[in-house]
Amino acid sequence: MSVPDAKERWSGKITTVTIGATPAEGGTRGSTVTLGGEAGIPFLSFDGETPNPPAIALDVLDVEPADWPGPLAQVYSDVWSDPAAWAKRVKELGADLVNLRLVSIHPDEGDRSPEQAAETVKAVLEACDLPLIIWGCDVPEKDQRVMPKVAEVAQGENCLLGAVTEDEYRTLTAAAQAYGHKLIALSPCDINKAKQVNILVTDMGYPLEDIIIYPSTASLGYGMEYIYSILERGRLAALSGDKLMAQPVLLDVGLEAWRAKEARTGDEAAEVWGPAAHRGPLWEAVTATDLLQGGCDLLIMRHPRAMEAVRKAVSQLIEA
Amino acid sequence: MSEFRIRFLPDERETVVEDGTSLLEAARLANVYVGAICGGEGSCGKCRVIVRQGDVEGESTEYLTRDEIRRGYVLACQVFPRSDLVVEVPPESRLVGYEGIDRESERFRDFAHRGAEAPPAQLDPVIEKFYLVLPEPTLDDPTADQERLLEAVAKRRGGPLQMGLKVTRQLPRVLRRLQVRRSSWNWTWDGRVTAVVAPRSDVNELLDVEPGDTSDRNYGLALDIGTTTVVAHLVDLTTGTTREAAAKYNSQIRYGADVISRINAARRPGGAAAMHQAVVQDVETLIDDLVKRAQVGRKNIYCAVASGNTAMLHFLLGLEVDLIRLSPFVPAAVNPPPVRAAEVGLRIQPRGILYVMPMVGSFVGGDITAGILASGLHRGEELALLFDIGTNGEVVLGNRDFLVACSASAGPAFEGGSVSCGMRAASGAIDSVRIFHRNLAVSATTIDGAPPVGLCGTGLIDALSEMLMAGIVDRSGRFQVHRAPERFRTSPEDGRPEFILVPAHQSATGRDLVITQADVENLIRTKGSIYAAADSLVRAVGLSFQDIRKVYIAGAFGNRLNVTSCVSIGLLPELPGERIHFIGNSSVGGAKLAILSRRMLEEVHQIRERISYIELMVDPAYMEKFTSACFLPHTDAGRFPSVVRRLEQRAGHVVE
Repeated sequence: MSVPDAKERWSGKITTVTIGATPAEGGTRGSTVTLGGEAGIPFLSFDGETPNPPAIALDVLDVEPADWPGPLAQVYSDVWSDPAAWAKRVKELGADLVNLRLVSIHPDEGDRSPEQAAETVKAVLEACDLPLIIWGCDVPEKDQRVMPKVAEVAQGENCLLGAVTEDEYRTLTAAAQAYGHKLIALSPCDINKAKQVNILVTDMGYPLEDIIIYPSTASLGYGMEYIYSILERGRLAALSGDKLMAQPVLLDVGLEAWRAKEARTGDEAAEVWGPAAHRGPLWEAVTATDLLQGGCDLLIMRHPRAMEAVRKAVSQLIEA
Repeated sequence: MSEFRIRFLPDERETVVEDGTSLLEAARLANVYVGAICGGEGSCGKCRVIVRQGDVEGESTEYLTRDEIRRGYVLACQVFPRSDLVVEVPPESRLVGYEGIDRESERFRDFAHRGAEAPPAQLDPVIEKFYLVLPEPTLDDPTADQERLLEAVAKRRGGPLQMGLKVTRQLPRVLRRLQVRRSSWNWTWDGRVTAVVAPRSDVNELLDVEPGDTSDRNYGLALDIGTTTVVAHLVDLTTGTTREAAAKYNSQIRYGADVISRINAARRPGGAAAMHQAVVQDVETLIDDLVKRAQVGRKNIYCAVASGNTAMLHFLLGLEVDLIRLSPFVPAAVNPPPVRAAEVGLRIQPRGILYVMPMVGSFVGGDITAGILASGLHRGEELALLFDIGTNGEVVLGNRDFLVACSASAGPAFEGGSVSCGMRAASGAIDSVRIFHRNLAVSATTIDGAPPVGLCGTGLIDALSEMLMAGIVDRSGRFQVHRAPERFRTSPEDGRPEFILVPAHQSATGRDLVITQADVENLIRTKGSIYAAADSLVRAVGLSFQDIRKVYIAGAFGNRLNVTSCVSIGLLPELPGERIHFIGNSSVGGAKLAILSRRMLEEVHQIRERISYIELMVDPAYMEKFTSACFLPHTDAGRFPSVVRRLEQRAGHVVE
């Protein structure tokens, strides 16, 4: 008796998006990162190819983080007062991309000007030649002033800018369009909303192929399963031919995992929970590897050991 | 306790109220109508009046601008007299055409349209009049009067027949003439009578016996007790024609625009009786008007067939309504038997019968069974959808093999209730809108061509469709202020942008007529819920909209809806135009069919038994369909190819 062929035949495919530009492409990056291109369910190599394994970006803040717990401080505290130095550290640690958060432009967190933010971006671009992701501060009025400026100074570098939402998409989309950057489209754990943001952005003439979907993120123990099911359904829809869900997906795992008290609590809980030095990175690694099964192309992370653990898991799954 | 004299302008009506009576209450006492959507809770901001003389106390600043407060504007439900007052009710707060019957108003043109519905092929009216010539009793044939009559009627109308004591008491004097001379009297046989027969469930009742031949004087009323409008048609049962039609606003509106606030009002002391009286009084007002115009006696109206949603029919019958809005949503009755109209308070023929269109449940009422009957959806071979778009939205799917219905919690977004510049479709309501893409110039038409007072449902749908096509809103309904900053103003209430449709100097109210971001959001939610309801029904039976051969649109604004606009905003599915049929007020249409044909009256009961109700709130896929439909026209653009094509063409013209 022969074994029946269980291979799915998918009509759709995830689009590929490249972040960063080398000198040959008009930028100054030492490398570029290509996301997406999957033609099947994650890690089922017999189902469809996975030409680009998930990429990992490590976080860089433009100010010294106020509340990063010990395990992260150990890795970054000597560089975190200088985003350029921090970006270099991230490259040394082996990240594929630098994820720069312009925290200090927030009216309550320093209220730095668009020009100051632009200086920071320039410094990071000069210090480190990894492709760059740049986020505003989540205050629309401020981001609308800062992000066009930032997009302008990063012209040619083909950065990934975040994030457009259903409510606020016009300015950032226009900036990305004008200066040749890719866009992160954020929606709150809802497939229809994700599609709606994509439609709004493409209605402005922005290409659908240059969008990365960010369906929001939740960590282990804090509603991860909701995100998981959205990822899974989105991926199945994309593979079934839904063009509006066929964009690569980004997850902000580091931010969410390190908000969990299980990751943050220090060694005062070691007796019950185990040593903080392992617990935090593990929390981040487990969140990331779990969510990868749902279909994700770009992870934003914080701890290098978590990153390594995820890479190891990915390589084992792909070889298997 | 002090009393204050309050005079209302422009009606020049006065009333005296006790201390502590709100201005809104005072207006009610004076029989002056002031729009109060929320029923006087201070949450709608619609009951704006101007205090011309005297002092009031109370806070009403939330919904008024500083300038308006300076000019004496107050919210009538929130302020109390402190002295004698002169109060002006401005046009936007007056319910044009509310009182009495405004036949000129376009709002009622559909209803007043006589004989719009073709009479059923077989005219077989519920009330039958038999002219009989009974033979004079003799010693050889001493049959009693009652038996004599019943035997004669039985030859014309078989089956069990009953006859009440009151009619039997009159009978001998109807059959004979009594001549009295001084101390003697004499009975002379006549024997020419007209018997009036009406079905009461399984038996026929001999309602009355009239002397002579009155068989050509046989009238009935078809009633639609709508949440917003009460409609009455006077139908000639011998010819099947509609003699006169009249409509008026449901007076319950003063207790709130939607069904739920009415039910809440009924829970207050005396509330239930007041709500019942309001509806009965509305019907009585309409009957007065009908009989006067048609020159017909009330005594020749032998029946009324009432249609309407479940809550309204409960109000009419004086049944408990509260349970309708409480889980598990069990109404007092869904199939009330025929009753004497007099018992309900309708002064037609004293023994006349009131029939009520059977209801399916708390959220699918007699207006829907009537609508199905009128559309003929239940008899057709082809698959059809019926949308009833009124204060509530209901959708029915089916054909002669099956019927499923559901109710979309649509809300009154189409009837002016929750819309900031909304009004009922009365004189001065903007009912169509066109926006030119190049300069965003707005061209609008109003009902009766009167200066614009506000927007009615059709106008609002048109406006949203046009704003979408002109790029004034994006596909999620957000205003694109950068397209024309000068055409927007900032809302004094929530600080969000408002699109100025008609500037203050061109409006009848002296205020800008605007569409707010909240208006757009409400409308999108409403249309999304109706579309998603239809979507759910269609999917529930494993089909898609493309399988639907006929779409019937029923509802108050039936015939004036612009199909293109409805499709553009995604209220209706995109289907070939020839599949869409407007059937107007099918609630009264169905009632009329039932009054003209006993077969139809039976059929509507069969319809009731056949309908399966689908509760969307327990359908896990509904929420998904709803969010998907809360986009313009829909998140799944493939469902609206021509709308998307038009949007793309438009994008070519619009300079960002």
